[in-house]
Amino acid sequence: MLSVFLRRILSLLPTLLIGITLSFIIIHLAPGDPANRFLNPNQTPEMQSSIRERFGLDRSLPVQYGRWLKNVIFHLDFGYSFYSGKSSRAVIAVALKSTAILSFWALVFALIAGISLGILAALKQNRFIDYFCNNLMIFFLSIPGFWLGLMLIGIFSIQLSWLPGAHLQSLYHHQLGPGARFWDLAGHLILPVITLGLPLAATFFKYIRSNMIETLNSDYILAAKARGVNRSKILWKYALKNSLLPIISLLGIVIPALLSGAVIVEVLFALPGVGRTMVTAVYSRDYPVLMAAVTFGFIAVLLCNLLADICYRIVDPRIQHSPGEIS
Amino acid sequence: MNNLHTKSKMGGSLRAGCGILLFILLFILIGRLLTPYDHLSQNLAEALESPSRSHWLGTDHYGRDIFTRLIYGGQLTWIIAIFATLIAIVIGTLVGLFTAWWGGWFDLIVMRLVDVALAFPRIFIVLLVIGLGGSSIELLIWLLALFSWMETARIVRAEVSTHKNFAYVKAARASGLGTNRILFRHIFPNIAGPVIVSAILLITNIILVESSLSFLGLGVQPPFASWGTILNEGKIDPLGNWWISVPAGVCILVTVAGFNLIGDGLRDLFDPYRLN
Repeated sequence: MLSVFLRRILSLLPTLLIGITLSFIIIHLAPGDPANRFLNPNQTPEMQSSIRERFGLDRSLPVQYGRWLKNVIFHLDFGYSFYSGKSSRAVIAVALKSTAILSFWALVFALIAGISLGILAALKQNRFIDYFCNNLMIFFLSIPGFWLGLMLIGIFSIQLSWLPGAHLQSLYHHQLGPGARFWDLAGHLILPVITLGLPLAATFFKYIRSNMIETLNSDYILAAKARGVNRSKILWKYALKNSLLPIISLLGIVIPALLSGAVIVEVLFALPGVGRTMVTAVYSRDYPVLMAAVTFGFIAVLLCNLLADICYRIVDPRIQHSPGEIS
Repeated sequence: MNNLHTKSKMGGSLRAGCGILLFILLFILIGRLLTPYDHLSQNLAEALESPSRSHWLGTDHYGRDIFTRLIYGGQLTWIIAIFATLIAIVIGTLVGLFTAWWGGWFDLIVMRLVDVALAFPRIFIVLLVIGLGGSSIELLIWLLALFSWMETARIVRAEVSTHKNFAYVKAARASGLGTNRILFRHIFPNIAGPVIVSAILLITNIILVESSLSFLGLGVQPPFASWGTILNEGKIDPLGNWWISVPAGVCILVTVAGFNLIGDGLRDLFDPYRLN
């Protein structure tokens, strides 16, 4: 078992490297020169080249890449932001915390809402509540996340001013007591978490509903019914367990989507996460911060995938342990 | 009886979806006959007007008629979505057909690459390419397509792997038909159902991604507009200027919902094994 996991981790490395290299090439071949930001029209071309030299942009692409990779691997040093001068690693580490909080709660919200409604709909199949949930979920699946967020901000922040529509905490957050800090954070999180979580909830709902219906119609449930096992035991112990399994493997697909969605939600709600940092860095051509953001993003996704994979293997021992297996 | 009931329900969602999409298509195709305005010409004297007789859905910050912009925006949204989906489906189908047919190392390497591509948050790369390199509609179509073919490839590959062992394929092989002929003339028609379903799901995804990119200012660039771009222009005051931000959002929602309904209906139709 352990060797399987080690092999999985090793097989992630080339994936990561491909992604990072590709990003590096795109970033550095793109038009635009970060050095121009520091110049005004009166300054000489020598000035520009000296700034380029300082950033290390005067070298050829492979040299820059080699140098960057070496620093990352041996010193975990992603370089310093061209503009703020802060360590890119520190900038991203802070941003990652916000993104993690947002994504985690969105996932929890989506799982709870999707699974409970999915079970409900499956049990009441073809009744009113089933149709209602089904259509509601098609609605949530079709609604563009950013528009939902925009409308929520409009209604709950601007019109009713019940909830804050931007930032992760109030300006006076650090002057609050521990309890008030929690509520402050929770209040700021509600709208972004709903915006990010609802489409996901709809995805989970669809899977759970169809799995549950299929399971409830399978022979072993019929056999359990025939043996007189009581209904709630059949439902909670037999059917639910098997219907929930595919959700774990679904997580592997959902997590990249979650991160993509987080980018938009962060921009919309002005949350200080990786996505927003990336968008800002793209516009200011802050290469070190961009590369750090991309690298951490890729690592996060791959680790989550790995985690989902491991969970699945633990829960469902039927999975074969062959290394070349492709599902 | 139960079976009959669900059958009619499936047809219902298919019909509802088709109806919705037909309505939207009519709106974006012949809607321009209803409006005297041009979608690009500005009229600052009439900026930010609320809906009225002369401007059915009001005007934006530059005095452009929103109703007209919705029509042209819809055309752009649909064109991008359809082309990107077509390209993605062609790539995905070809990759799926040949990996499953040839198998072996080719299959292993290509499917590993598909895994790699699926694991990445696509928006990262799209953000880098467009944010740094600038946007154009052709680039947008290719980027959306290049990040969408993988799921189709997986579905096609799984289907072909099963069909490979069916008698009709073996018979075709035994009678000496070439690979291309077997793949495209014999196997493909038999797996067209799942391909169509995946195309429908893909197009919903692509519409949503395109509009969110345009909303971020990375997709369709002003003065041209897709529905996402219009939403970007309306985000400053989402409820105060509701005539900018609400109709465009509803258009996206309704279009995607229409495709989702069709997708659901088709999946039930093509999947005889589904228990109901």
